[in-house]
Amino acid sequence: MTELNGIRAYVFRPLPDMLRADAITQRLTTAIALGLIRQGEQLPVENQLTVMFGAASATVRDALQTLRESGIIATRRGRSGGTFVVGTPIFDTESLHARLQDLSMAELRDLGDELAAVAVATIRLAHERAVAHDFPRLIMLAQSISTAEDLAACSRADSRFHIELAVLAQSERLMRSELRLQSETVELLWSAQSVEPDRIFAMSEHVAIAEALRTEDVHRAETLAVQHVHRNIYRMIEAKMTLTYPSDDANHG
Amino acid sequence: MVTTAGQAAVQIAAWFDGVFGELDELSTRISSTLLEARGARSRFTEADLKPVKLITAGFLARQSVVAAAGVILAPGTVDPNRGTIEWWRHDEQGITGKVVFNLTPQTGSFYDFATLPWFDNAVKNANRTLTGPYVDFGGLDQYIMTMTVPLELGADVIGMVGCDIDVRAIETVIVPILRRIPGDAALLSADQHVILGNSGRFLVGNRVRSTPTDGGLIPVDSAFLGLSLVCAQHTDYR
Repeated sequence: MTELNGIRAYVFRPLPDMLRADAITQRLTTAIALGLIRQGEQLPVENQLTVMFGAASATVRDALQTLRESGIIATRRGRSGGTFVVGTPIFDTESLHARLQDLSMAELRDLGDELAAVAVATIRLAHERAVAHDFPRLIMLAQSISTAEDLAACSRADSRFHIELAVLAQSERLMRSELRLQSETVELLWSAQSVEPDRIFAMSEHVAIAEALRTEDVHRAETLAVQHVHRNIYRMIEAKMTLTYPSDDANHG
Repeated sequence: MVTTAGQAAVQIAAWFDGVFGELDELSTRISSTLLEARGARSRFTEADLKPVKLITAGFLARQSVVAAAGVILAPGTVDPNRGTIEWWRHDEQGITGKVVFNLTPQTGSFYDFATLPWFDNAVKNANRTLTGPYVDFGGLDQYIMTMTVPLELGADVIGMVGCDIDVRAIETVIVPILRRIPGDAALLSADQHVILGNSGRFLVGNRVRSTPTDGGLIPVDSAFLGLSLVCAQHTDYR
C-alpha cells in the first residue's frame, strides 16, 4: 500500500493514549470476567505487556492502575511478587448498555454475520474431529448455564460452551476468532437479557446443538447454531432499539 | 384515514427528496462553475475542477449525516482515457480531505466506477439514483448508501454529483420514523434489500424476497428511487 486515502489515513491515525489505556483495561477486564485469565493467575510483567499491547509503558501503567483501583488485580512486591488477578469484575450493565447503544444496526448485524460464519465452520470441524468421549463434557458445559446465578455467570458459562466447540474443532485460529468474538459480544448479550428465563433458553439451545453433534447430525447442528446466533443478535437489536430510540417506540417494549 | 405506516412513508420520502434536492442544487452550482472555468476551451482541465472542493465543503457542512460528497466526470471530460473523481470527506475536526481512488486499470484495487450502478444509472438515464446499502470497497471501504444525480452541461450529461452516507448515520434519521409504526416494519430499496428495520426481524442488507403473509408493502413516493415499506405483525423472536 503506497498511498493512504482519506478513510485509511483516518483508520490508522494514532490512538490517543487515553483511548489505548481504556482499551487495555476493557480487554483485560473482559478476559478476567469470562475466566480466560483465571483468579490467582499472574499477569505478564509491565515490560512484556508493553510489548504485547504495543503501547507506551505509561499507558499500560494507567490501565493497570485502573484495574488495581477496582480491586481486580493486586501487585505484590518481593521475591514471589508480581501482578495477580485477585477480584472478579462486576457486571457493569450501565457501561455495557452504553456500548450497545453506540453500536449501529448494521454493526450488530455484521457481528451476527461473523458469529454465524465462525459457528458454522467450527461445528463442521467439531463434527469431523470430535470423538465419543468428548461429548459428555460438551453436554455438561451446555447445561452448566442453567445454574448460573447472575449475568456474569451466564456470560462465563455461555462463552465457555462456545469456546469448547472451538476446542473440539481443533483449530487454533478458529479458537482465537471465537475468543475474540466471545469477548466482544457475550457480556453485551447478557446485558440485554435476564437470568430468568434466558439462562434456560440458552441452555436448551446449547444442549440441542451438542446433542445434534453427538448424534452425528451435522446439518441440524449447523442450523441450530445459526438460529442461536440469530436469536442472540435479535435480542441485542431489541435492547439497542429500546435504549437508543425510546421515545419513538410504538409497540416494541 | 392515513395510517402510521403511511405517515412514515411520507416522512421518509420527504427526507430523501430533501437530500436529493440539495444534490440537484450542488450539481447546478458545479455545472455553472465548470462552464465558467472552461471558458472558450473545448475540453476541461484539472484546474477547472479546483472550485469543486469549496462548493462541496459547503454541502458537507450543511448535511451532517453525509460522510463524503463530490463529483465524478465521465472518461473523456478531462482525461480522454479515464474518469475524474473529486470526492471529499469531512473528518471529526470538520476538515475537508480528498478521498483517493485507484483509477489505474489492471491493478488490484482499480476502482472501476463506470460499471457501478450509482454512476451508470445516474449518467445513462439522467435520473436520481439511490444505491445500497453496500460495502464500498476501494472507495470509502465502509458500509454506505450512495445518492447520485446527473451532472448536466446544457443537454449533455458529463458525469454525476453525489454523496455517501454511512448506514450508521442513516439509522439515526430513519429508525425513529420506523419505530412509530406498530408491528415490524422496514424500509426496502428498489431491489428489496432492507435499508433499515424497526426490530431485529428485518436486518440491514437482508433481502425480503416475498411480502409477509401477515402484512404488506407500502410504496414510498420519491421519484425514481423505488423505495417501499414492508409491514408485518410484530413477532417476538424467542
